[in-house]
Order: sequence, then C-alpha cells, then structure tokens
Amino acid sequence: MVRAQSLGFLEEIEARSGEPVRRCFQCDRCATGCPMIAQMQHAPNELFRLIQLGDRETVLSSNTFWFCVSCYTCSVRCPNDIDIVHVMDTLRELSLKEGFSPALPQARDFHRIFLDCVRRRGRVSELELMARYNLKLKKPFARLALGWELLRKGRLELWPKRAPSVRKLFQHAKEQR
Amino acid sequence: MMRFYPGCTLSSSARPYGRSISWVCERLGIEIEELPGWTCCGATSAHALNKDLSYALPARNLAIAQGLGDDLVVACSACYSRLKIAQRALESPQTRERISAIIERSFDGQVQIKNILEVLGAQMSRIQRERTKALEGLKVACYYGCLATRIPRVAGFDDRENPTMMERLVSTAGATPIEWPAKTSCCGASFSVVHEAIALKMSAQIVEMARRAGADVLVTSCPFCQYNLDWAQWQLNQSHAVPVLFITQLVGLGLGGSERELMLGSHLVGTEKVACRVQTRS
Repeated sequence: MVRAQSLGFLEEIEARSGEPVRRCFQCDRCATGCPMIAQMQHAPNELFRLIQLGDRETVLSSNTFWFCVSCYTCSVRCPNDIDIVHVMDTLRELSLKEGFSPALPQARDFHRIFLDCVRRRGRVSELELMARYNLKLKKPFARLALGWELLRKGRLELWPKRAPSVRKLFQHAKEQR
Repeated sequence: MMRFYPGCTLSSSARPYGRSISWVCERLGIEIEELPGWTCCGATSAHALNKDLSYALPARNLAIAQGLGDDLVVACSACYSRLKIAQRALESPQTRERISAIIERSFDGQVQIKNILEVLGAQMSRIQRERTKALEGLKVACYYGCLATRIPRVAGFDDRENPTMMERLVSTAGATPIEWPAKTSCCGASFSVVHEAIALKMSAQIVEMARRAGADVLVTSCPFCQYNLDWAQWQLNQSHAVPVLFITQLVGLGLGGSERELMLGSHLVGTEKVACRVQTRS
C-alpha cells in the first residue's frame, strides 16, 4: 500500500540532490541495466515513483540505496538525465540522518571506517581499513588466509607514506552540515 | 610534464599496477611525477555517506594540480571518476564556494584530468615502433568495469557502452583482443568486503564470460576490478582460472619488460600462462 503523505518530500529530495526526480516517467531503463536489481526491495524507478507520491517512510526505509553498487549504468542511461546514483546517495545520507536502520549495517560501518582512516592519515591504508573493519564486525581473523597471500605477494603495504593532514577539511565539512 | 595521482591502492593491493605504470612511462619517455601532497579522493565511501566530503576530498587534489598548472593523470578508475565528478559539480558557483571554504583553497576547475588509458592511447605509434616482444595469438579480454567510462554528464575519453581503447592498446602491444559481452559489467566493487557472496557471483560471471569467449587472459585498468576478478577465482579455487593483468603489465611485456619488473608474480591467479607466450619479435 502506498502511504501518500506530502508533495514536500519530492521537493526535498530534488533540493538535496539537485536532480529532477519528477521527470521520471517509468521507462524502466534503470531497472533493466541494474546489476543489483535482484537484491532490491524497490527498483530505482519504483523508488522514484514513491518519492513522487511522497511516501517518505517507505522510501527512506527501503534497502534499495544500500544495495546500489554505484556502477552508474542507470545514471548514464536515464533518458531524462537524472543522475540516479546521486539520488541514491542523497537518500542514503538522509535515511541515516533521520535514524532509519540501514539494510546493510556492515556497509555503513565500512564506509565510516574508510572515511575515518582518511581523516586520520590523509590516505587509506588497506591493512588498517580491513583490520578495523574486522574488529568492528567482531571477526578479527576473517580473511586471514587472503591477507597472508596478499602480503606474501607484495600486495599489502605495511607502512604507508605519510600524507598531509586533512583533519581540518573534515572539521570544516562537519561544521557546514 | 604531467602530474600523477596514484590513489591509495597503487602502493598496496594494486602495486603491480603502480610498478608497471612507472616502468612503461619510463620506457616510453612519458614524464609523469607524483602529485605532491595528494590525499585520498574519498572513493565510494565519501559519496555514500557525505556529499560535501565527496566533492571536497577530490577538490583538494584538483586545487594542488591547478596551482602547479599541470595536467593530472589518473590510473585508478574510482579516483578518476571521483575527480571528474567533483570537477563537474564545482562548475556550480554555489558548490564551488561551499567546497572552497571546506578545503581552504580556491579552485576554478582549470585542470585537465586524464585517464592513463588516454595517455597510453596517445603513444600507440611509439609502442608499435618500440615493441621488442611478440605476444602472438595471446587472446585478451579487455575489461573496463564501470567507472572509467560511465561518468554522468562528463564527456569521456571513450564510448560509455562499448569502449575500445584497451583493445587498441592490446593490438599495439602485439596480442589479440577478443570480442566479448561483459567488458563494462560491474565486478561488485566493495561488496567483496561488505557482502562477499554477491561480489563473488558477479566477478565469477565476468570471468566465466571471458573464458567462454576464449580468453587466455583478462586485462583491466581498474585496481578494484583486478582485485575482485583475481580474488573471486582464488576464492573459488577454479581449475580453469584466467589470469587478470593490468593493461600496463601487458603493454610492458610487449615493450620487453621482465616478469619481475612488471610484478607478474604478485597475482593470486598465476600468470605463467601469459609469461610463457612472450617471444622475441621477429
């Protein structure tokens, strides 16, 4: 059932994303090219229709934007020139801000840890990223064999070079919100 | 001179890419120097969670390049995509003002961002001339993945749905590119970390497609694609594995680079099948 609420939601998403979501006329090209469609509760075009109808609750609690892999197939194929991936980003950010529980909490955690690695060192050390992610998931020994194999073959950097600090940049970005 | 933005992976999981790029550029006399003080582009994580950071992190690097007045060469498809997308977004005066305040630098967008494939593509006649080895009959499936060619509202260096730059490079390097249908399919990207089963299936399908089309080897220009296709086969322990090389490793082989110089021993799926096909050009 569609819980139509307000037209304000469409305007809000359009303002936040800068994308003309109202133009979507259900051609289905996004869904047809989407490699993640099998995982999604709502196809991108279905989600867009729900946005147009103002069903905030259903949209923001959908798993669709968590399973979006950002391959940009839909964005470059949309005949109405809607950057669909960017709308997915907007919805994910808003859904977290409004306290909806993420369909893939481990993806949220991964991205947060990734960004914290960048904040602290300016660049990402894959070793640090994976170690912290494993700890967060309480699986400290996950992928140990893979890690060893990569290390043995010279494909894991143990001591990354120092990069300039971006802590201030992160601080300013936080203040802007 | 051009400035090189290596991104975080080229000294780690994509070290053979970084190493083979340096080798090929030196061999061809392409002058590239690492962008001083570069920092992470934010990759998928920034645009997944924080729009401002997804523009500010690339913009910081673009501002450095602009200050130097040099073109910026990018090898990693994700970095390339994020830098291009940020540059496009910063065309809006409001966004530019907002992001300039965050990065405490001014930026007017006047930087040429070039993909490594573009840079190598411009050297095709040199590669042809200077090639010392033959890779006769080596069938190569060129795999582009998503982000090198699919950038919304930005004119790319190649066709979005059917890019051919790598095929041309492979021919120039003396091997045989094959036609196959999955060259711009998605490998699953970071799902190989956050939801293994999904990425495993996506990557394995791509490899299977290449194998059925008769490929001896896959080549790519994207670090994450290389890792995922390599990892999926290692994980599944397949008997008919297809080695996954970086395009610069293959070009390097044609130009006479050794297995050690091009780090051919660093792959999860062994590359012996490729190395043994290298012959001296007659």
